[in-house]
Amino acid sequence: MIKKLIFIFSVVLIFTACGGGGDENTITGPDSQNDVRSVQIDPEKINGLIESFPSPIEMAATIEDMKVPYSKKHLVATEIAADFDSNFDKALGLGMLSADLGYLNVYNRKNAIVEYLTSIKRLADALDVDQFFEFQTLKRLATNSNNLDSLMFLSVTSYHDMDEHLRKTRRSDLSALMITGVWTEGQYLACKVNQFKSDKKTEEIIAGQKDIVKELLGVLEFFDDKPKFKKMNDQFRELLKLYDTVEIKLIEGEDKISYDQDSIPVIEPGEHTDIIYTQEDLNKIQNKIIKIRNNLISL
Amino acid sequence: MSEEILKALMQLFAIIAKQDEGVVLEEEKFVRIFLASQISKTQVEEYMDLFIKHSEREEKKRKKKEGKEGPSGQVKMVDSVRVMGICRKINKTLNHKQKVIVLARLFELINVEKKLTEQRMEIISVVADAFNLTSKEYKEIESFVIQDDYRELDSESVLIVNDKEHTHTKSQHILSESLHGSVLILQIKSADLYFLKYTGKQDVFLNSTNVYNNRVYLFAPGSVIKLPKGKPVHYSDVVARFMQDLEISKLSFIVNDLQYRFKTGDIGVRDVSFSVDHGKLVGIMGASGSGKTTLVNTLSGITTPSSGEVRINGINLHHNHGELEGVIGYIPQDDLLIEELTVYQNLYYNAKLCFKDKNEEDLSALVIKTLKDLGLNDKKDLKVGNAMNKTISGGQRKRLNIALELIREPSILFVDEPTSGLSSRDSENVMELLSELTQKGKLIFVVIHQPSSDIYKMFDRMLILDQGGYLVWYGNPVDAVVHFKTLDNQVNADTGECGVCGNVTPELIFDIIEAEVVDEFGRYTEQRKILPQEWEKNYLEGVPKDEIEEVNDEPPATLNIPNWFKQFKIFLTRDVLAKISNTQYIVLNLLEAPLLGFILAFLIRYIADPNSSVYIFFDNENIPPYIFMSIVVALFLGLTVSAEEIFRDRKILKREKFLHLSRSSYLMAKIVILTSISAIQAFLFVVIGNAILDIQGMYFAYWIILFSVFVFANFMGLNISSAFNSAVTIYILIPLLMIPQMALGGAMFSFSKLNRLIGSVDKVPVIADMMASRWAYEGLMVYQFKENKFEKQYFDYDQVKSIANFNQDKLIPKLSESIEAIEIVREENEGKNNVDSVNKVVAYELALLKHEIPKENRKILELTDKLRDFKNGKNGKKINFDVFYNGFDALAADDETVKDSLFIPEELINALDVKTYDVEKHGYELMDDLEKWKDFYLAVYSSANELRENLIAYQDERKPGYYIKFRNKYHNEHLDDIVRNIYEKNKILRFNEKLVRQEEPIYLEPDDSNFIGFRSHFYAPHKYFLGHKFETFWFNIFVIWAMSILLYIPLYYDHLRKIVEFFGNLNFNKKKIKNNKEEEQDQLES
Repeated sequence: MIKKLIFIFSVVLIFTACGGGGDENTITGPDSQNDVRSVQIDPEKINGLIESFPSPIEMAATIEDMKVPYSKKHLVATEIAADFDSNFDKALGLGMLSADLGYLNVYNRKNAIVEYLTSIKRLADALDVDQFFEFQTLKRLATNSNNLDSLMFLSVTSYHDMDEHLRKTRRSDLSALMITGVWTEGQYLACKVNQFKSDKKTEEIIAGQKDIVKELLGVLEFFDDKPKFKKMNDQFRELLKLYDTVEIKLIEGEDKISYDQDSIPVIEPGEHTDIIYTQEDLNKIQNKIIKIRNNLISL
Repeated sequence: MSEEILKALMQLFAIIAKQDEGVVLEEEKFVRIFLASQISKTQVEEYMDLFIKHSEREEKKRKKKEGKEGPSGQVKMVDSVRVMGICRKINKTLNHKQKVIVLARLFELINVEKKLTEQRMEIISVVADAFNLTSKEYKEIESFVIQDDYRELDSESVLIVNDKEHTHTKSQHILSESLHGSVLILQIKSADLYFLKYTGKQDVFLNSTNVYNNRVYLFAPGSVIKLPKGKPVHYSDVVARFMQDLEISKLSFIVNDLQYRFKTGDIGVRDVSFSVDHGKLVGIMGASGSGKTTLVNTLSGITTPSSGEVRINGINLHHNHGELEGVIGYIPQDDLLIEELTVYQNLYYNAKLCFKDKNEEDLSALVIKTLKDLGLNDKKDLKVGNAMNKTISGGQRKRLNIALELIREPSILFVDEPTSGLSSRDSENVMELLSELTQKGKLIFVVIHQPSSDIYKMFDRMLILDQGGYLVWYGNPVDAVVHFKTLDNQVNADTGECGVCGNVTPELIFDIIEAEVVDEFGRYTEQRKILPQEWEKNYLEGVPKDEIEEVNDEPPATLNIPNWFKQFKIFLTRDVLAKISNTQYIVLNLLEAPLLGFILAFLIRYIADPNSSVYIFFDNENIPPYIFMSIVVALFLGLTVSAEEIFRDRKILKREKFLHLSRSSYLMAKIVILTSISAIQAFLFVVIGNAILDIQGMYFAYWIILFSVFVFANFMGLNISSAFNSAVTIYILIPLLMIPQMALGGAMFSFSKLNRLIGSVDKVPVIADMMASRWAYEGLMVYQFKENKFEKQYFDYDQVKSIANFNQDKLIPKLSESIEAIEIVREENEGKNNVDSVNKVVAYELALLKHEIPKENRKILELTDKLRDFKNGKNGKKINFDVFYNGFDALAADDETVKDSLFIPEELINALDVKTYDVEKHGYELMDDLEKWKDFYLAVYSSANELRENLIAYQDERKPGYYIKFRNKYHNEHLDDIVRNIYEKNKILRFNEKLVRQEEPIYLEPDDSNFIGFRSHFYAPHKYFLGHKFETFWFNIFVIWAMSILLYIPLYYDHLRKIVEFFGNLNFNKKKIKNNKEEEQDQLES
């Protein structure tokens, strides 16, 4: 009996001894951390970007018009979002999921909306920017109201507030990343929809992003010294190169006023832009955008 | 006597008788009388024929063969061989005593006609040789039987009773009043037998039967010789004479008007008085409920009488019991044996506890001797076992029980029903044993129930109690029968025992005492013919009392108990041996914990990603429940392993208390064993469970917490096991103890969402603070979160970030709201006539500001201190950074500067009063200051955040994927969610004048304003106590141990048991008193 017990004990001991091995050592901080202060962007610059930016609502509205069937495959899966580890990923993810939320909103997918809101909340919490999202209200709107406009929280003003907060806490990079996320995911969805069912208006939107990419890159390049940014920026630089052949002309003209059936005047702006691009250019751009987006979520 | 033996005896008789001229009539007559005393009359003739046939036929045969008379004066070879053959047969079946008796009978046979020829004597000597009797005893028997003149019998084995002056030097003597001849008594020491014969011609009675002249009688225990004149001679008197030579210390045991009254008012023992000296076996009899046990408890000093006294050698037993330590022994009715130990071990450890000075050899020799004395030596290596699993017989168990006390040979011994449940053979053995002890001078009290005639007669004194504790007889047992028979006017009242068989019927006594009145239809009524009071009166008035001379020597004490530590060691070894020998117990205890660990961990080893087969610790949502379940397991196992410990030992404890052994050393031994078992169980559980769940680097932390909980549960279990009377009660109690531990452990219900009567918003409720589970769960959760290899690197930064973020985002806005609320209410009600209601609102808001602002002032300094620590490299390497706000580096400045620039000034705080507060003056200044705070916290947040981000960037650069790898391996997401309370909707709560932070409790340092108050919110990272800051983990372990130690106090003093008994008495006895009183009333009236 006693022998048996001793045997069991020694087995257990050996077992634990083996289990205890293979522990890695932690890496302590750098020997010296000279001025760790982050690069700060000129607030004017980012404000300009936010203002000239297509909001997720606009993007969604365009897609809605196209009457393309809903596909969850286009979206960033929430499981993937749960795996975003660094603040870099989280900020990007926050932007991307916001864009996805716009898409879901168009198709009125209530369950998915709640799921995405939960994911967004997690990311916002982790970045300590949750105060800019009224989650409770949003959830209620998403589940109870038919005519939901849950996207209002991503309005320009809330972006301004959030950006200001991030800047105050010296985290402008996150602000830039969020915008990058929204833009990339929005364009990605547009490209995907367009690939499914080609549409002139969508194509023009995609092709017309030349200046925005330039502006976005202008902001992102502040952070070129950070490896992650560098890697991402390189791809945007490649994208910008593809836009070289795209030409955007501003054509001036008189505004036209017409009346709809309720006799309400509708102003049709005379001034519009002509976007000149070849289908080949567009395809290249579309593919590049899809590639960038997929790279970003697989970081 | 068996047929075979009787046949053998007849042959022996025949062979002896036929020597020299054959059998004479007197000899034949003797054989006939002898047979008549052994068997029924019808059979006597059968055996007589056998005797005659053997003696005559043999003779004839021989004569025929030889044709003439053989040479006389020589024993024939044939006879010698045959005698040897018969003796061999007898040797196999008879014991020593019986063989001595046979030998005496042989002498008696030849003495009948005084034909003491050489041949006859030679045959008897052959028999004596074959029986292994010493020549001394042989000679003594010979001369005792043959000599008629007492003067020739001067030996230390002889006692002479006559009216002559004693002139012998060796023999004993009892002087009697005028007696013809002498009563001679021979002691056969080796067989512990006494023979008696009478040489005179008067009527002398042995146990009420006539003693014939020169016949040898067996003088059995309990016998009494009645002489024509003077006092009868009792067996004990005889024994006492022979014992005088031994060193016997004198004892006097005097009881005066002893009364015992129960707490309920019932009387257990009523005015009992008697006295007795050493060397007596005193029986205590009485119907059930007559107070036998109560009397014994009082006489032995276990309970203190309400009035009266017991004096042993002049020392009051109850007031000076210290002086009588070790004098008294007590053998209760129940078993005192440790089932798992062997017969030898039981006795050995018991002896070890009694004699500190004896070395191992002496002790072992003493134990073996005692076992031999009790006929248990061949069973010494058998386990005692229990009633269900018997290895030794009931009689042997009883004897072993007696041996426990016997081994230390106390002078006065109390034995409670030693024969209950034993066969009559075993009963007699046990009683003989006690009887022998009295011969060595011990005084023994035996509570006895329905004794057989033989046992009844063994007693020297009998004490009979009647219902209600009345003493109705104390004196010679056989006389008791006469006494009651006489009072009952029975025929033959003057003989106590059967004239023919010598049997006594003690039942008769109770039939008489308890006889009921018969009604006119011949049915028994429930009324007694004679009430206990009357019996008592009859006894007191009608029976002369023994007078005992009070002895003033110090009574011999035989107790020499070892010191605390030695006792502890003995208890420890004894318990360990008992445990180890129980294989089932050991195997179950060792396998249970790891098995549970395996089941639990295996069930919840869960892979979150459906597409993956790789287990990731980070994703396993079951870690917090695992922690909680581990604690529940520890509580359960700890409780069950200990819940029966003391309860099982209860009887043994009662006895050990009698020996004045230390309870604390007993308890300490238990505790050491249980904690060792617990340590092993906790170890096995953690090793298996944590290994399966891949909880890295936490083995020790889990072990020590679980071990602490085990120990706490052990203490809890010991308490209940010492308080309750049955195993069932104990197991019923376990849920009652466990469910609160589970419900208030902190895992099942949130402390902030309990019933308001017990709940509190900012601290764990007091009732939960009393639960060990809550301390254990919190300790382990906090440790698992804070001290895992991953979070440990970032915790300090995370904490600063969390504080700064909460303050700027939740706290400061709340304070601002209050300021605004005052402004609004004052503005709206300006000029209106409702000052009171306005002031009420203002006071309410100001109270909040007044409470929170000074607190926040202090926290600013704490925070800058902490940041300076980072900077100065307290947590590793020096880091160059600043907390820069409003053009001012808070870390570069000294405390005073920080105070100057950030503190909300004292004057402003003092102005926060309904009367002095001015919105424009104070309110606006406050708002400005709060803005400053906000900026400061934003700056603090930024710095901490950057430090963290930079560290991660640096780590990832050195080792790509480092952060995720560590996180997945060491950190757990669900646990993180729980300790950060992310599911809580209200991140901040207002509770009277306090703002309570509900967000991320793991980062919130508890309130340190109370010097001795250690209570805090749940999942606090540290605890403050006595002005010091402690890690929650260690502090909680300390609390659990403190609770365990606190539980030791009621355990030591047996508080719980006393409480249980108190309530028990309250509830059930009131009715009883009433009933009893009514009955008494009825009886008296009738």
